[in-house]
Parts: sequence; C-alpha cells; structure tokens
Amino acid sequence: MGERKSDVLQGTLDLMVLKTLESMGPLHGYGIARRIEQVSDDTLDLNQGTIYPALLRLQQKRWITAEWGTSENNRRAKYYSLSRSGKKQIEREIESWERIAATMARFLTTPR
Amino acid sequence: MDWLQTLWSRCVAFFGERKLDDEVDEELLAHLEFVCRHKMRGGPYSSFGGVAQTKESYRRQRGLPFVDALIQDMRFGARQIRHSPGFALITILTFSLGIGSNTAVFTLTHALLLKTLPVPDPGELVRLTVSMRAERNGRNAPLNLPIIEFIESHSRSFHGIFAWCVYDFPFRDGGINCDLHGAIVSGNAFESLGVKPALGRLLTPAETSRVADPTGLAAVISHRIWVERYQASPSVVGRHITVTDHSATIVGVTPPGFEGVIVAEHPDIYLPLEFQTILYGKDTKRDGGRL
Repeated sequence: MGERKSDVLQGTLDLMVLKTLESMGPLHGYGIARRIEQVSDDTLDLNQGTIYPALLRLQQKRWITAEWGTSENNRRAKYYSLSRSGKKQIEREIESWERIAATMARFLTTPR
Repeated sequence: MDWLQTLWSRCVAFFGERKLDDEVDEELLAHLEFVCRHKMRGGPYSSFGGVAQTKESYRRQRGLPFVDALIQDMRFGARQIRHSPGFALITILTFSLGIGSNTAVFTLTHALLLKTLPVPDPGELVRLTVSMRAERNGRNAPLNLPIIEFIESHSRSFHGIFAWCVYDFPFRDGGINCDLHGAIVSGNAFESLGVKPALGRLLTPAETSRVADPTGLAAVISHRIWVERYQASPSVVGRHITVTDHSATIVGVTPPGFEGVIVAEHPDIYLPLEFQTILYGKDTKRDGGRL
C-alpha cells in the first residue's frame, strides 16, 4: 500500500459502473468492483462497499436493472445489466464528464 | 423525471424493508465470499469498508429515511410519555394554556386594532363618548338626546352625527320568546355609515322626528337572526313583533357581516331613538351613551 491511490471523485462512480456494464454485460456487484479496480490499474482507492448504494441509485433511476442469478462458483448473486435508458444516459454522462475534464485541463495548462 | 422515478422507488422500498434487508444481506455476503476466494488465490488487497456502514448508507439511499426518522422520534416520544405520565400531563397542559392564551390575545388584538368595520371609508369614523357621573354611577345612563342635538347643531367638522346605544331587549314573535341583544340608534346611523340593507330598508332620519306611535315603531333585524329564526324568508318585512312589551314592525335586514360599530357587541335588532323615550324610566340594562 506504499503507492498513492486517489479517491473516487464525487459523481464519477456512477459513470464507471455504467461504462463497466456496457462493456462487460450483466455483472454482479463484486465483478463490477473488481473490474473498476482492474481498469484503474489499482490506482483508485475504491471502497467496494460504496458500489452498492451507487447500484441502488442507478436502479432507482431505471438506468440499470437487477436480477438474481447463479455465479461461477454456484452461489446466488444479484446480476446488474444496463437498461435502454441507461445506454442513453452514458452518452450524456460522457459528454458532461468531458466538459468538466476540458475545463480542468484549461486551468492546468494556463502558464504560471 | 429521474427524481420522480427515484421517489417512486423509494416509496415502494419503504413498504418492503424487511424483505429488501434480507436481500442486501445476501448480496453483501456473496460479495464477501468472492473477496475471500480472491484473497485465497493470492489476489491483491482490496478494501470493502465496514459492512454495517455499507448497509446504513444503502438504507439511506433506499427508503424514506426522513419518514423513518419521524416514526422513530414519535415512538421515542410515546415511550417517554408512558414513562412519566405526570410530567407529560403537566407539559401538555402548559402548552395548551400557552397556545390558548396566545390565541385569545391575538383574537382580541385583531378585533380591537386590526379589523375594520365593513362600511365604506371606516377610517373617517370618529367615536365620541359622553360620560355622565351624576346618574347611575355614570355608567348605565340612557342616551342624552339634548347633548346629541347640541353637538349636531354646533359642530361643522362632521359629515353626520349619529347615536348608538346597546341594550338587551326581551323579544317576542309568535312562538319565539327570548332576550335579544340590540341597539337603539338615531335614524341617520345607517345612512351615515353607508350601510345598505340586505332586505327591505334600514332606519332613516325620518324615524327620529316621527311622533312616537307605539304600534308603528320600525325595527331592523340582523342578517344572523334573519337566517337563524326566519329561515331568510323575504316575508319577514312587515312582520309585527313585540320588543320589551311594545309592538314594532320589522322593516328590513342588515347586510351579512355587519355587526354594529362597537367591538364585541353584536346587535341582532336595531330600534329608532323613539324607543328610548318609551323605555325611559324602565330598568333595562344599558351601556353608556355613545354617539
């Protein structure tokens, strides 16, 4: 744990979850958390527990759906998949994230 | 519309908490099992955070935490009341007394200071009070007609001067036999106030100068008793009634909401000044003479 990890920025977890489900298809909570850690190359300080309130939040907005299924080790687990409105939402979220990133980039490239 | 769907989901979840709690337990348990297997296979460290904290923030996201907290508070309150009923009783009494007296004070303030008479230009009205010391302790003296006439003929500032004096009258009309709160007013009172009748006519200045005729005295009744005792019947005009053993005739009805000019006095019958000369000497309850 010597290397420095960055916190999960407010509002970015939702997009990460949506994007993960888009690329991986239906996945359980642990799978989503692992995938996010892998993609971030373990530089993200993700508390895996925080995934669950986020999943619920996305369900409440009807962007993802949940279904009980059986995992690879024969355990009952809840599988989440992207809904049609979730797919549309990804585009909107990406757009807004890019806007924020571009704004930040402009600040950071301003000569001192 | 996202917020609407969120609210709907929260409401649905609010009524199925037990089942949803079980589901979350199972889901988190499965997750931790995955974590264990992963570690046993020598996977890198991954943190989950506290299980209890996760469940708590999950629950906050799920149902209606505000309503949950409210219910908890109410349960707690009920328990406390049961625990010390004496203290609770005293507290409730104190509150009710406080609220009650507040309401009373503000009702009075409203009636005395804020509410205006339902007449045109209430701000132009002026009240003159004559106090007479010598007679009947200065309180229950009848209207003093010469004084009114004196003021009327010597003042130039007023558009109209009228007399207003409240009494209780024994009232009889067929089966009705009761005491009515009323007022003796000079004939120009309604005209000066600008009040229009709801039915028939109101008292006119001619009433004052007319020679007292015991059978033909005009009376005006309030809108309230017109509705309560006469079922708002238009045939009430011309009806013969008996007031303090003198006969009179109903000539009209005051408009709804008109309660006279004196605070907290709600006259139900108005009689002309002549009635005073008929009554004079009789022992009736009287307010001080007011002009």
